[in-house]
Amino acid sequence: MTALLFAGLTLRELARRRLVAAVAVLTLAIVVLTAVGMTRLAGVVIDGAPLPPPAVRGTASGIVLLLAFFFSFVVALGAALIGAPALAESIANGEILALLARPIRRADVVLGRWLGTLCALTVYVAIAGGIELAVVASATGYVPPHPFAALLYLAGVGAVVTTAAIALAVRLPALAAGAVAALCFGVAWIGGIVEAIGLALGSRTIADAGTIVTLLFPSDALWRGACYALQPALITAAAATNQNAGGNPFAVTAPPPPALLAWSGGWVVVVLGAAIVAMRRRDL
Amino acid sequence: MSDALVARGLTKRYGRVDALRDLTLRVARGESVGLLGPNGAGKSTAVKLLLGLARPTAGDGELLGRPLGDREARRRVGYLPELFRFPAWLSAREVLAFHARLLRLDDAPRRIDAALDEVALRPRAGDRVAGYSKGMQQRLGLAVALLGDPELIFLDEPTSALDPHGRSDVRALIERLRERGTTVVLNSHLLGEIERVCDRVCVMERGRVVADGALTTILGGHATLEAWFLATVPRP
Repeated sequence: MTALLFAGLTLRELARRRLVAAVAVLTLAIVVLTAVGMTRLAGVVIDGAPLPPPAVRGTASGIVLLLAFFFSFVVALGAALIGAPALAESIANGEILALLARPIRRADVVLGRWLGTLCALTVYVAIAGGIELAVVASATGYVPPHPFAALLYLAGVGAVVTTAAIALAVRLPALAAGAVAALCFGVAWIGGIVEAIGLALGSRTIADAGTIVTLLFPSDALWRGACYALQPALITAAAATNQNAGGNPFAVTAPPPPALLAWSGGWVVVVLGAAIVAMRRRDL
Repeated sequence: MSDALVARGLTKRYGRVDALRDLTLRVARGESVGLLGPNGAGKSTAVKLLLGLARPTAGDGELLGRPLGDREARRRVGYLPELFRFPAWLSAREVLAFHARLLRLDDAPRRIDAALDEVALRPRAGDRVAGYSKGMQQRLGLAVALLGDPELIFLDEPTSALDPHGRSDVRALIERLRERGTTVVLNSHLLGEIERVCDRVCVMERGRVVADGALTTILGGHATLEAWFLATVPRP
């Protein structure tokens, strides 16, 4: 219950500090640009003939993947830049002293800040991602095979980076915690590519190196799940037959296996638990 | 009735630095005790250990009859930290409302108003903290500490950001707390302040208690606490 108070405080802070307004304006701008671009795409004329609908949908699917890639970066950066200060700033400025002198558990502060950040990101993914997909569908007729699953995977990316940012914020200043969490996301993304390249080249060592990075920071596994959920079956089939497509971060041949999803969920639980333990042990 | 506060050999070491060494202290209910000492003497560390905000390297203690760090005891304790900042985007009333929820206070609006009145902040209670002067933030910190009528209150440098009027107001506030029977632990290096409002003084130096007793006993032949301090406590 107390954790919910801190989650609410986090959400209220985002609204009061005009972050919500700024993100809403930027998202609206992206939606308008997408709408204009997709409408133009649907009206493209080549050699006097309009682009056939399958070609329009195929192009739209590629653009949707690029947009999702952009969104995954926005979500990861948002998680790092919101999650880390939510906890680290209150420790640095002494606010936490007055709070923890109250009859509350330190775990409530960590859980509340985590929950508030995650709620904000999930709502953002659902609204911004949902509107984007709706705009693409209405302008071009293209609907990805699993749009809801894709949004869930993107929210999962947010959960992984938020968890890392909050855990780091227990011990590091806000800037360092946010930067390291964002960096981990980038390293994990490269790890995913390295793994795919290793598999394509038949190098077990390279593939294993990528796999280890993916397991240590499972955001890339979830990003690949989003890719799989968004890309048309035709592209999935093409990627499966083309070994060289392995290094392409947008070409995914299969969804993340259930074991990897379970690992990602377990990773969040374990890292969040470690953050709570570290917070309990921390001298203020 | 148990003591308001008991410390038995409380020790805190940060690496090789002894922040607090073997603090043994008893504060009776309703007593008003001044912890004084030069910067780095261990006054704030002692308060943090007593509140469970830092873990002792050795020793233990009790707060209102419960072990250090006990949540139930913290429900009856108020604390003004030495260095703090409340969220700039909240108003004073919202800060207090949040703390009232953490305390699960009944009749929160009335008690928030009472706390605001105690520190003369009610007229500006709806303004955001971002627009507050340092003195107003200090008053808000005091209001937060007073919320819920605590039985024991720790005030760590409560007048550090206040002008002479503000200091006078805080002294009057501590007098009122004493009259109500609230136990007050006042950390300060403003010796005149401690002299005016405390029954007892506990002097700390380099993490150790070097003197503890009633003000009149401590002063000996010295005219003021400041004169005693300058003559007795070496520079850090």
